[in-house]
Parts: sequence; C-alpha cells; structure tokens
Amino acid sequence: MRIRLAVLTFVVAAGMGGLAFAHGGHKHVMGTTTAVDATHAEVKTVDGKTVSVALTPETKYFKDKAAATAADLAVGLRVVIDAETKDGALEAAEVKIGVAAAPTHD
Amino acid sequence: MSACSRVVWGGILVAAAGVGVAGWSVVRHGVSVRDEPTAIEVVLARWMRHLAIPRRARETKNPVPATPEVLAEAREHFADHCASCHGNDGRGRTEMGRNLYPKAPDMTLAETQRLSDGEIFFIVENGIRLTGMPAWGEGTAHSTLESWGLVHFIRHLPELAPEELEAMKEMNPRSKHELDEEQAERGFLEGSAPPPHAH
Repeated sequence: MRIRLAVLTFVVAAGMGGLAFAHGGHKHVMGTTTAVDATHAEVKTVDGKTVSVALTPETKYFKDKAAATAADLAVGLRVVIDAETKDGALEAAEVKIGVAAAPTHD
Repeated sequence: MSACSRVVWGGILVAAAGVGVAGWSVVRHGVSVRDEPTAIEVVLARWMRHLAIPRRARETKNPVPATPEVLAEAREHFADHCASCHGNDGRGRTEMGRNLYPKAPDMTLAETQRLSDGEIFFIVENGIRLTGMPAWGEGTAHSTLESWGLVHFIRHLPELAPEELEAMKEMNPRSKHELDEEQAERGFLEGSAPPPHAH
C-alpha cells in the first residue's frame, strides 16, 4: 500500500503542467482618504502619491481596534489599508480607520 | 490490423502527443509553483489525500467539547502556528499561502468544511505529502488535544468575528521590523505621526 501510495504521489507531482501565472502580493497603503464611494477609496499616501484601492463586500474595517463598517470610512481620515494586488489593481482586505487628518497647506 | 488494435494504437498515439505537448510546454515555459494546479491534479490530489487517511481515522469523532475556553486556546494556537500560511481568517491569503503549490486552501469553503472531524484532525497531525502542510502531531496527549481544538477552530472559521481577527493579530509571530511597522502605523492612525503631504 505504501509503495502504491508513493508511486501515486510521484504521478501527481509529475503531472504539474498548468501555465496560468497568478501574481499576487500584499501592500500596505498608509495615508489620508481623498475620495470614498461604495466600491473604492482613493488615498493620498505619506509620500504624496494618490492610490486607488477597490473596496469589496469581503473588506474588513477596524477603528480603534474594534470592528467598524464601510460607513465609518469617509474623506479626510487617516487610514492604513492592507491590500492585495489582483490583476494589477489593489483590493482592500482590511481597512484600519484612524483620526481625521489635520488640514494641509500645499 | 483489427479494429481493436487500431483503437489501442490510436489511444497510444494521442497519449504520446499529449505527453509531447506537455513536455514542450514545460521546456518552453518552465515549471513554477505560481501556477494553479490543473483540474486533473486537483482530482488526483484529493483522491490521494482521501486514500492517505485510514477509514477509522476518518470516522473518528472529536472527543474534545467545543467550549469557549477550547476555542480561545485553539484560536491562539492557530494564530501562532498556522496563520503564517493560512492567514488568521483561514482563507490562505498570505504571502506564504498563495505562493505554495498547491496554494493554501480557503478553509472557510465547503472543500474543507465538508471534511469529517477525523479527516481534519488527521491532516493536522500528519500533514499532506507534496504540499506545504507539515505534520504537527507530536504523539503526546497534549498535542492531540491541541489538534482536536484546532478542528473546532477550523469549523468556526466561516463565522470568525472581526474582533477575533483583531485579537489574533496580537498573537501572530512577528519580527522586530514588523513590530516597528505596527507601531508606526498605530502612531499614524492616532495622529501622532505627520499627515501625508504633497511633494
């Protein structure tokens, strides 16, 4: 039985052949929200770039370490977004909502 | 040549052509663990996993009651030992999990949840060959109880509350760099770090 199992596992291993590449990666987006709607948030990051992150029904929200909702996310708040890269776009897995950013004078 | 021989030789030729195409594809593109397993691999791997678990083990019921204390201990254990690959939410969306071959599964889905308690326990204790899943069992009464606790926690994954997820983050193993990063994030969210500015 063990030998049969080993042969079968070898066959499974040797059967690798799929060629569809799945590129994925996590990214932390830290900044202030400049636009928010039901499906995405735009964040001006600490280095001055504007990054768009998709919000999905699976996105989780936290405020002061407690669970929050999408309704708590508004323009002008400090956020840290844990996002995944999917098909070249960022999708928010988790949004931590902080205090309102002080007005800036550009 | 009889009709039967023609069918057999035809089958052999088709199989040889398939092997040739697969071989050419491997030579041309290489083999990466980033690929998704093919449908046939998935079927074979699940069948192999099924064969690898003895019937008696599959039919074993969880002897540990699912008390809040057992779940809390299992949650901490999962965050410390399993989350690096599986993620705190068990969905496998981690750097390690998504770059394994096969990728760490989304354990909230039916493919995992419909496994019996005994099957999940056996997998935790013995791992799965040719995957990233190691054998965690130590053969001690304590580790056995821990594995049964994990079975309860894996069953609980689809209903994991956001508060539980947040608490688990404190239990995840972290490097000094990650701790520093967390502190910086906390400071930023609380307003103690400077706000974003245009350059």
